[in-house]
Amino acid sequence: MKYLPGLVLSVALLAACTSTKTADAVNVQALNQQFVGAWNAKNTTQLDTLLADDVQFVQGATHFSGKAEVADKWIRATQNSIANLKTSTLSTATDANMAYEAGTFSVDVLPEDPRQPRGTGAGNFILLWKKAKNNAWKLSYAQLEDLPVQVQR
Amino acid sequence: MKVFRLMLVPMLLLGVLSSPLIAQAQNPKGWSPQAKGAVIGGLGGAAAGAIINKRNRPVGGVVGGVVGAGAGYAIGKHIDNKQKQRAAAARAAEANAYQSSYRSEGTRSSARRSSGKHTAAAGMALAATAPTQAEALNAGYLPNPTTGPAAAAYPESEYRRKSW
Repeated sequence: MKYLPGLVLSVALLAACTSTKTADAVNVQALNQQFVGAWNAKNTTQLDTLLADDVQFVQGATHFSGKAEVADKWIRATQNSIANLKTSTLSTATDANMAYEAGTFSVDVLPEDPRQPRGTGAGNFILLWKKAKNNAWKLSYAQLEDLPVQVQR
Repeated sequence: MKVFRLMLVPMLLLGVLSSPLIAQAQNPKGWSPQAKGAVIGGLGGAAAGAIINKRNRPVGGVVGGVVGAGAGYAIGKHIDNKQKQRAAAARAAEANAYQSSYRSEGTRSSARRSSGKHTAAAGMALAATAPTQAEALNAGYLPNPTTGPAAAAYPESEYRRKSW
């Protein structure tokens, strides 16, 4: 009986240790599914919240820097021209402060000119997430590499 | 009899050294530099050892053969490493050349377009004359728009590339 408080205390400490360990590991698949889902739902507000303040976006000759520019010139500029975005992960890793997913994507392309047919776009991507100060995970770096958009058959 | 004893060591050496031949059966390109070095070193070392050691020629041959084979293997490995380095450097240089030609294509193609000359270019992307939408659609691709975000990402491409 003497040892009961000590025992309870040590068990509680151990439990606390293990629970913080699992809380640190982020499910990067869930993060990216949220991201892709928001793109398909055209939910720009949610996409804005998922970007880090110093997010970087590179694609071909373009490079957008910072949350405002990326939200404006990537998300808002692109979201009305794509549909049915799907990603296929080839490589992923998670760390205490950084996680990434990389692979290929495919998407339907709706051209600006309505007389043109719909297209199918494909390419490679890497989405890198970093843990921000408030322990929330934000997209820190996104790089896309596109292949020529083929006419949808 | 003495001749037989003299021949014993070289024949043993030949047996030992022919094992690379069997191993190389799986390498149709022939002998690796290490194997060649080991064989040459072994034969030369055995001959030198037999000559040097007048009192006991077979033992001299064996010792010389072992030392020669070891030295020959080391030299062969060194040559092999050099060859692999050169091959890797050549591949890296090729990749760099491809990359730089791809990137410089962007600055050069706009100059060519304005001059109106038609030159052959690598890849499908670079017709010097302005591509028509019908040509792109006939080829099975969407044409690259002239303005807007889709044009900014891959400006030199004849076909639309930016999707996501």
